[in-house]
Amino acid sequence: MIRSQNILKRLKSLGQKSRFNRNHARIIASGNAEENVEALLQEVNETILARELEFHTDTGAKLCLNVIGRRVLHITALQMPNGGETTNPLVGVLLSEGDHLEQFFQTVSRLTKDANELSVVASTPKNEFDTSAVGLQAARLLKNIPASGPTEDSAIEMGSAAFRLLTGIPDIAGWLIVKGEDAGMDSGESETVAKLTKVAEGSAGKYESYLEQFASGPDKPVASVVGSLSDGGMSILCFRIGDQFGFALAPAASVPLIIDNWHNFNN
Amino acid sequence: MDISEHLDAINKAFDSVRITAFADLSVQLVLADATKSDIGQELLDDLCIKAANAFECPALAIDSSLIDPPVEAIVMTDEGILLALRATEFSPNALIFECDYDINLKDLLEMARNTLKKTGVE
Repeated sequence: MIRSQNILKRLKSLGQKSRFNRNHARIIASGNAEENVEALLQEVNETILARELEFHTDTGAKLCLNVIGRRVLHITALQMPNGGETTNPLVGVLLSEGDHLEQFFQTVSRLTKDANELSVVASTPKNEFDTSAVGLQAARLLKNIPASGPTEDSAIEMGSAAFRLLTGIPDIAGWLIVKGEDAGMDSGESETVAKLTKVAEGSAGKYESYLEQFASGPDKPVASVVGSLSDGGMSILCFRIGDQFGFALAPAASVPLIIDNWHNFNN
Repeated sequence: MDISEHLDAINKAFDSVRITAFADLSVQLVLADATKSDIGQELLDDLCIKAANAFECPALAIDSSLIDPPVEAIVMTDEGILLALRATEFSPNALIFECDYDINLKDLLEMARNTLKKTGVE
């Protein structure tokens, strides 16, 4: 049976811009162990063309898979958290459901168990592989996940307030969070992010003081359009929501829309 | 029309504008204002200081080639919007507005810019 919180999570993720970490890998989960496994398998389940999926966790784990047609054919590289389990019989083997389904699931569960962040980079396989092989079907692996999971409320509230605000405004060309639980996270074209980084560079503390003078209280949200970039007229928004502090870039014409979103979000 | 009449016109045209003021930011002094209710001088002084500070973007002090000095400053808090406009980036004179969030910002900006042009304030 399909769980309603899964549907909600999926709908939410479809409505969000992708998040990327410092290594330019796409973040696909930042939750508990079950969510991490589910996100990893879901990524496989959405991969139709031949791809090498390279998963990383913030605990130092790494898993490289050859994937095609929603199926895992091989584990090409495996590095467990903190360097543990250096050998695994599944690495390099053509996987089959009859022999490896349970063991693969256990490997993935151990890999992502204590991770707070799971990210993925998809690339064209360096070496050709036998695409006619059956491998492990992601849909079957997904069924192995225990039925208990996060509540619907927690699924809806995934991500920090700043992240939810920024991803909820389509006109924002790029953003950068420099302080708070999502510090270092950014979105947008690399050139846009580079400009924001330059704006923030060495003066983040000054911007915090700058915003503080306008806030109605120490924990109150505050944002300011602090100017525009010299080379293109994009407006620079500086914001503070809770302990999150960062910058965003948007076309000047979109400022009224941003103000509406800001107000709706904070009420 | 003098500047006070222009401020009254803006104040009447927008229900969501709580305070309309014209100030000399270089000395942080409100020279004229139009409000929907009686407000004290302290509040006007505070608004003027905030407007002056809103134009002081920290990045300008570090690398002025990266950011154009702002002609318009917008600050959003949980209490409303502070909007300040000046004719040029180096003009000491500014129009300042304190608004509710349901303000039609596009129309207000247009009227405010026209006011700056008509009054020849620089």
